Amino acid sequence: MKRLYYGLGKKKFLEWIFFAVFVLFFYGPLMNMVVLSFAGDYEYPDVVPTSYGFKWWDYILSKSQMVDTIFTSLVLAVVVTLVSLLICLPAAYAIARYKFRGRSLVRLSFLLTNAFPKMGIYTAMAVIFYKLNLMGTFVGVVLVHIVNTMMFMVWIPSGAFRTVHVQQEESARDVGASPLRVFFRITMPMAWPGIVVASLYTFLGSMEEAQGSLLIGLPNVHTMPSELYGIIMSFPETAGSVFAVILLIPSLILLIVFRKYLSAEALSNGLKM
Amino acid sequence: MSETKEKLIISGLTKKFSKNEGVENINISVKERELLTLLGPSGCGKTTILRAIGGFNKIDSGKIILDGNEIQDMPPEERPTGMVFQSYNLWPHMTVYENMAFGLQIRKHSKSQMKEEINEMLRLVRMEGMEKKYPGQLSGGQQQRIAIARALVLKPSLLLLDEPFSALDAKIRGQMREELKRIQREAGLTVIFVTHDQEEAMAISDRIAVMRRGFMDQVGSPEDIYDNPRTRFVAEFIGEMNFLSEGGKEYAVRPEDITMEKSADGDCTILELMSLGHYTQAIVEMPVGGELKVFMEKDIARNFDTGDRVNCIYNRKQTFAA
Repeated sequence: MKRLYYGLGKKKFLEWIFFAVFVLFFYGPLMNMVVLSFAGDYEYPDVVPTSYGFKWWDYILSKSQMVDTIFTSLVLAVVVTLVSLLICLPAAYAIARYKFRGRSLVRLSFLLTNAFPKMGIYTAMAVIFYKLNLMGTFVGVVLVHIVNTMMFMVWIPSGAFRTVHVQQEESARDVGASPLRVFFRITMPMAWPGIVVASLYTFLGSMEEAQGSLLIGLPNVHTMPSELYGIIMSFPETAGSVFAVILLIPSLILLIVFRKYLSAEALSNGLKM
Repeated sequence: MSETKEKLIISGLTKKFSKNEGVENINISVKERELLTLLGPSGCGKTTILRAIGGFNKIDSGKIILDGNEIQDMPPEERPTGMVFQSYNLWPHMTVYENMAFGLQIRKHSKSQMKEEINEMLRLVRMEGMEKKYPGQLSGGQQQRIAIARALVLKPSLLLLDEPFSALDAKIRGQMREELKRIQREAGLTVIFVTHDQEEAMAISDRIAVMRRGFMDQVGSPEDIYDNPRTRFVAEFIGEMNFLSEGGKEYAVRPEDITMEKSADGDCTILELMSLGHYTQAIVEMPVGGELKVFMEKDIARNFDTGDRVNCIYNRKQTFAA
């Protein structure tokens, strides 16, 4: 240690310590989870398992109910993303382009669902959903998820639409494109990075949403996160780790595929083309 | 020369944004192959008229007749006009070729025909070989050329240019003017050009409409407007003008219409002599106060020095109703 300290110099040494703490803080739990998921024998006070294997993977994947939740979650996330694109993109465009009375109020209202304690909103929604027979249905869970993701889906694309200049849309009208064609061929492609990022947030947000799914979805709709609650409580830690790693895989794939849209540079450029 | 026919007739065009903003009862016509410039300071309504012709402003009342058809109620995509804006004309996610092909695809031209038409237009604006470039790889001047080419490839009946060169450097702006003039001549275009730059307007126009606060003060050839400005505003806005009062009346004199004579008991004093290349500008102090601007040939300017006493002779004076 002394050798390292004098070798690096005081400033460098402190930087290294910081870096080590940082890495431990961010990647420690993640590593621990991955390691535990491949455990063979593991008992609580140990830091690492005494033997390794696919025992718990077999266990989770052999339970058809748990495998089903994986599919439910994926389908749900896709549906939520598509539906909120359909609802939110027109809203985002309107907020970006048109000046209308109460525009800032509309913009703020998308924040409201994220400004209050979630459980309160879910409970209120549950009351309404009971009357509408939406409790325990797939549609009900989709709606709960959309309430959460609306803010991303409106704000981020709205910012992206604002980077498209009116002249660029007008010149497209001028050469003969209808308003709809202008939107799909000019405006959307130019705002694409923002739309991709918002969709990613929505997809990932839906993948990890547990509270709302638990309250609205049970007992019929089981998503991975809501199932995870049960697993953590009634199975060993190692089973939970396996499930958590599975939950992580789609996120990792998406982040790798779309990394160019998520780079710090792209985000700081306001998601322009 | 035979009388050319009217291409565009605007009658009674009114478009009000608020009580003081907008244009009212505009009447003007443009002849075939003519380049008409709408000239005026910002906020005078020149762009409002251009956008009304292009279909981007819904007009309150009036008629716009192009090639004998009323177009005022059509959306922009149905109008046979082509518009080029000051900036941000091109779509950055498409190559130059794709930019130019966009309108042709909508008109369902065949691929081979499209290629030929685009190449021809690129040749006309001297941008051959740029098909595969993206707009971000082009300079500002090149982007505007492509924007013009993109409008022209659709063979518009009327080309509308909204300050297309004002975002460019002075030198390139000059080149683009000449280019535009050449393109207009070669393609036989009818053009409406909007600018706030009187020099640009003088250089390229067949006719200029000088606008102020929603009205057209004067419409005429550049020479006519320069030599016989109808209002004080036009006189002041176009070119350089001296205003002097004599016996309670205000006169306007162009700097080149003043001759200076050296004289020991002259009542004016030369404050400054400035060589502006092909001519020299003198600032002269008048006995009654105020300064005069005088233009003269370089050879004549050699006879004068700063501080010289001179007499000013006004060869041509104009007056305007208040």
